[in-house]
Amino acid sequence: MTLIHSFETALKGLKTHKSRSILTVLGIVIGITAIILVMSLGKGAQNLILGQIQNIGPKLIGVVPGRQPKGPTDIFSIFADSLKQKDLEALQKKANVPHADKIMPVVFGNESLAFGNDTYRATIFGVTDLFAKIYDLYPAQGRIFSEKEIKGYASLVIIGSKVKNELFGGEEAIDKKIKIKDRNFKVIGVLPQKGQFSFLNFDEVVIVPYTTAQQYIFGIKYFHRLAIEADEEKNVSRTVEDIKITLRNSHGITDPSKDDFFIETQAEAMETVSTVTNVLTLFLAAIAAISLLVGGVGIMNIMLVSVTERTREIGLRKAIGATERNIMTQFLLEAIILTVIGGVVGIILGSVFSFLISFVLSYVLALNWAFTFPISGALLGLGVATFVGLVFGLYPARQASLKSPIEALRYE
Amino acid sequence: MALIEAQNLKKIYVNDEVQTPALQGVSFKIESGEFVAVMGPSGSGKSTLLHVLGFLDRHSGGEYRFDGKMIDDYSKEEIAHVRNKKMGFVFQSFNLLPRTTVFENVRLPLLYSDVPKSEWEERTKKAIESVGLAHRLNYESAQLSGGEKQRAAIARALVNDPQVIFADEPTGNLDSKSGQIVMNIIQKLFEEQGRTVILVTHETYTAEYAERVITMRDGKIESDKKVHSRHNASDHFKK
Repeated sequence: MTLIHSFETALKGLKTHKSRSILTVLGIVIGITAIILVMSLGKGAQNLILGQIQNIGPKLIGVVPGRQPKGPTDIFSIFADSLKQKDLEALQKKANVPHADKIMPVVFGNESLAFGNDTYRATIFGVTDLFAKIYDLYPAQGRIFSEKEIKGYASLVIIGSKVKNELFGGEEAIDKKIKIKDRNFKVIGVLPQKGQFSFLNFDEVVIVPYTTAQQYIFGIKYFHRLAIEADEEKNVSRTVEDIKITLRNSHGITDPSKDDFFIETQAEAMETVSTVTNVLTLFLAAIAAISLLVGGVGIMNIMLVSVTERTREIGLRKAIGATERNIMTQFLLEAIILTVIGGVVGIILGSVFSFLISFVLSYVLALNWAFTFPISGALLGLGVATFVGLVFGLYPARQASLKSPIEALRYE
Repeated sequence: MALIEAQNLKKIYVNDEVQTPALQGVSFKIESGEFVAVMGPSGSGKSTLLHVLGFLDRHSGGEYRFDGKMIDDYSKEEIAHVRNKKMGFVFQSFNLLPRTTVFENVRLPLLYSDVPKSEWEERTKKAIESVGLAHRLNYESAQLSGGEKQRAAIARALVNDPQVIFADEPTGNLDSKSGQIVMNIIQKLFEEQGRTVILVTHETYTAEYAERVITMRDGKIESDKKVHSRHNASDHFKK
């Protein structure tokens, strides 16, 4: 008996018991649908987060003081004050870091703002005039502070759109004075509505010259961060190395493991995020896989019922010349066909559902969410379905093949 | 050389430590081309004998040679092959597959045979024609009358052109008219096609269609006689 005929026989067997076959397949359909859904949505979420990181810009390098956190005990970073003015100057020397195009110190923290009787707590963002270019963020109204004003510790602020609304409502904000830590700051610019940008909400920030922020707001002599932009993307890794060497020289460090700073790049951040989301997706897929297992047990159960119910058929087939192998192949194929059909339907349903969810997320909730068809998930789903059919079909098929023809024929 | 040769053949059913002897040492020979009826009351062991002879059940003692070869010398695959190629079975309860057409039911043994696929359709149709069911080709088994079901089952037994036909109470579930039609076909297998036919029945009348009757009682052969005045099923139709 050729495989094609075995296949036809198996298919015929399933068609003869149509409603039962459909119900059996349901378990597998649900399992595969869940896996596809989880994997597709996981991929979508990952792309969304990665897109946010990409907003930072591939050329941007962040220098952060302190030791790179490697475990829970490092949460309170040591050497938090390690980046100082002399480091900035060292990095600014072209000979040290030739491919650093823009270098900007950053200090930040939360403070209360006051205008008249209105107060509002916002993120103070102490930077240089380079922020506009680096973050592609220009005031909708007013202007940016100048280099000269930065050096002169000018008390000027550029406020985010939400800050403006909270403090001024519909009124004009430019040239008004707001109070931060009892010091008057003149509003020279208002940022356009921008929303969440990477991990920062620019609508809720107050941008001040970093010198002023250090001196009058935070009272510190160090930086919370250095933002450095390389001239070209291909020079990022080289620039990272140059920065490390320059800072080690400046700090007198010879052993790289004793670095009191660490460097963040977009590539690295993306890698971290990918790892986290991949683990999450796999975890959810594993949970979904449990439903496949349940589906598999369902298949075994139904196949066993089927074998018992069709005892006479098995007896007859053996009486007219079917070998044990023929019978086994027939029932095994029936189980596999069921699971593969379930797998295919599950892949289609899972794709349709995740497409609909993507549609809702991107059009109704206005998220930058793209539908991705999880090819790996589909292949995995099909593979798992076939495997489930094989494993859970084997026992009933074996039971069927071992029946003695005459006992089987006598079965009522 | 006899086609079938049984020597002190025994069969004991063991069920929960209780031993039920069904065959207590039977010996006989059946030559190729013979039409033998095995008769006896229920529990006499006649069906058990048919099952052992037809490779559907294993004997527990004695010797059984089919086609000159001891049954113990056949492998599992060979047994399946002999059932497929050399034997045709007709059962009292027809055993047609449900929700399956006459054509598909009759074709079934070919699926397990080495007959090339190109010959399947022709062979199947020929077998169905030979039992007079050509007009029922695409009927499902549930749509057939009892007699038609048994004729379809005979066509299935014939499709692989077997040497021996084993018929186990083939008329047991049929009214007398259908029974005669079925017996007419079975008799023709012997008379016109020269096949060996082994028929199990508990009715003396049906047994006398055969040329030889083995009567069994309590797992033993009571008598083994030639039939002097055989019935001829086709006589009924001449009347």
